[in-house]
Amino acid sequence: MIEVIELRYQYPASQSPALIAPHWFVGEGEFVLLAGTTGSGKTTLLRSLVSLVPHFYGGWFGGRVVIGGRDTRSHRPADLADLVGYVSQEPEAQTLLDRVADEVAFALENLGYSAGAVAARVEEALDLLGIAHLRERPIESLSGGERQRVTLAAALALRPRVLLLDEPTSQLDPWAAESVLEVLRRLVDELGVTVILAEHRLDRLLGSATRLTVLEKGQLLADGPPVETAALLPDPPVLVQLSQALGWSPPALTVADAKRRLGRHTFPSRAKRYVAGGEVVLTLEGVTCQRGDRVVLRDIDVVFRRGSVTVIVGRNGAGKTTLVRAALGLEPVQRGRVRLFGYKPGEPAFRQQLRRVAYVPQFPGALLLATRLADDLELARRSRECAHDAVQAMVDMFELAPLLSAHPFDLSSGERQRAALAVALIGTPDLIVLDEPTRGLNLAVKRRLVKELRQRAARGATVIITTHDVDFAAAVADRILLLGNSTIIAEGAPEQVLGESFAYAPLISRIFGPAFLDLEDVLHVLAAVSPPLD
Amino acid sequence: MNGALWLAWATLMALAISVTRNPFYLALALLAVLTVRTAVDTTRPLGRAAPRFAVLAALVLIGWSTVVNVLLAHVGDRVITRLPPWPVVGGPLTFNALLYGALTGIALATVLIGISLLHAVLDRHEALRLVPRRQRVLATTLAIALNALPTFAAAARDAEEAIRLRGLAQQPLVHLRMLINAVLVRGMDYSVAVAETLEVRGFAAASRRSQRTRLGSLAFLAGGVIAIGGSIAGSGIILALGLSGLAVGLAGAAFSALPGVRALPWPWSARVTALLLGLIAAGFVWALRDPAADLTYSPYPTLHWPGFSLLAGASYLLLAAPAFALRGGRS
Repeated sequence: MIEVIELRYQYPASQSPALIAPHWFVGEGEFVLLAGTTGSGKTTLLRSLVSLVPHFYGGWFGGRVVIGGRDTRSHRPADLADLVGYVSQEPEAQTLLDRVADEVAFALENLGYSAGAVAARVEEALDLLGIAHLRERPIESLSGGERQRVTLAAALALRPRVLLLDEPTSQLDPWAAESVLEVLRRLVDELGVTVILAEHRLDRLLGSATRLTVLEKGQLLADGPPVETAALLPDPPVLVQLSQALGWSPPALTVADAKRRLGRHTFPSRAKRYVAGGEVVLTLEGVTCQRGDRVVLRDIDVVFRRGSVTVIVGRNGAGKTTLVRAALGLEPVQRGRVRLFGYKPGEPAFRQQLRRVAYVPQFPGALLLATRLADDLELARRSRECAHDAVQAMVDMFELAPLLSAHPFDLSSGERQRAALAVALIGTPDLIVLDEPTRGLNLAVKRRLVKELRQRAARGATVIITTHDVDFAAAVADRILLLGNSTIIAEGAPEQVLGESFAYAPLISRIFGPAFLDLEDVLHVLAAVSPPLD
Repeated sequence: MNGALWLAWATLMALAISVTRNPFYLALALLAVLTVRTAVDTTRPLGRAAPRFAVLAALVLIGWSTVVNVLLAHVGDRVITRLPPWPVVGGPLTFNALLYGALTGIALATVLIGISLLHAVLDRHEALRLVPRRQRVLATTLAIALNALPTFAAAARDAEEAIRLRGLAQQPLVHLRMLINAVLVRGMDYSVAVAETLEVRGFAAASRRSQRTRLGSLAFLAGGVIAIGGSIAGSGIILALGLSGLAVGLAGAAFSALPGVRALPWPWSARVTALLLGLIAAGFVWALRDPAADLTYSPYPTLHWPGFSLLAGASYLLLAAPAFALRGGRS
């Protein structure tokens, strides 16, 4: 189905090749996972398969890419639209029209399908992704995750033979992500569709993939069945790390496999890891927010204290972003009271208090205001009145040294996320609010972020995070708020709210039970188990 | 009302207003456009409010146009006062210039308010349907243009928030530079993404440029050049030849766009509105030929009372027709 022969590609403004792939072949009905750190060439490989490279991005292109018998050198992306479905990294920028149904129908109309066929396929795609209820909704009223499902539906409506997906579940809640993966499995198994998917969060995907291709610095590092190549990943996923720790070979690639190997052992629970609770920093009392006729938040009562890390989870469109924005006075509140450091939004002193806040919005690029990343970091340093080594610490933590002279426009999605985190976290803000901070981050950076946030909380900062990444949430949080039906439906320690939940349980909890939230918990307990498990 | 009708109304409104400075007609046109604006704001056919900035910008425009014209155009028989012989602005300030400046401002403001309504009423899907299938560049440009306003507004809002949260609001110059940078970067980002999305969604798929398309484009280009040449040379025959070429090219494009027009919803209210717009267009053509209608009214060099034709007046007032064809919610 796909042949990549002697491919060598360099972006126009770049000094070095972004991708070198001597030979890479993918057969019909394969489910290929592309893995690698940020900037390893995953996105460029996908772009070259859909012919955006070189037709759209220009640059220097050598070799050949043939997809379904069509050579991309002589076929523009539009000429491949009936064969290849493509969903890029940022769904926010991929919607063109006003209404969900129109967006899904657009590509079908372009390819000349009859009105009846368009209507049928739109319904089918909306049903497949569980978004039929959004059919008539204006796109601008959708949450990030809802938009992501709309762009997926637009690609699926064409019933492509090849589906190229760049981090398609990065903004989806666990249920939605699982249902998307289920759809992909069915497309592969029942219809023989070839799926190529680039991701950072591999744990839930390894069991479904037929192949794992690892890229590093634009080159193919490894390629083969996941059981063989997963161990070669520069940053192995949790299941592979667990397998390595327990000496399992080949590694377990699914929760079911891990449980089977583990047998019927029971483990002692670990004590609650964190104790939170200093003075009150932020209060929301009976807060109700509305967008048009739709109530997004209803009667929210919640308090955030010094030294605590609170993670807000909930399905797409549950109101997580609205809650944190309302807390910072960025969203109008129809009813109720907000108090930040004791001040109400609208009071003159409230604006001053915002300088004590580090906020990374859902669209992290919005935080980058200068023409070079280095200037942005310097502005943040001066604004927070801290020493120069504070900048260097952030540069090191988020691996930003090669990007300091880059314009924000030239950064990839993952790089923008890291840059925005660095800009926000410079100095010692008293309140840290991060909206979906792990989008596009690799495991190593995520681990460093967890450590940094825990340390800051221990020094007295208040941390509030919204995320769909339940493994990250389990690792960092000492309190979880579960939003649903516009209100807080559960609140408590991660092992209670996440561990005992079916949808939001972290991977380790699914294997070892609710008392275990991350690999560290497991290793700590297993060290005391004798004889060792095998 | 569908996308084609809104575009037709906006074009007709802009052309009709641009050909006159007659205060009676301008007043009627302003009244009609404000009626449509009120109806759009009330019914919100796409769920979006009519943009408020256009009204503010229109007020600024009227004031600016009036003041600049009074200071720069020292012509007319009704002198208000005289300025010393300063460069450019020195000399008599006339009531004629004040009136002409205000009328020009009102004309521009009315067009601005009318065009800005497209943001609230023009369905992007319908607008893109109107682009001939082969015109990928035109579609990309249109898609970017249709999304530009909300994109820039969102970028400016996000940047404002970021500036406030990062404590940079106290430095006005830095503030402005960052705001502009953020808006431009987001605009570029979005434009690239829109163009990419149009490509991968198959816009202009398998539309190798046909011989007929090439001939149509050639006729359009050649017609334009010949028409300009004819105008310069003052030759009616050459001008007619050029205009014929332009007409052939335009007819080709219109023919290519026809399937998109047919695919739009055409309920009876849309058909009646289309008929009304046709009648209004005919009324304007008639008024242009009627000297008594006084469309070309000017307060220079002597101030006089403008003429008025009932037919022309009715045509301007009928620009309010879309207000009565609107329905709440999306059709």
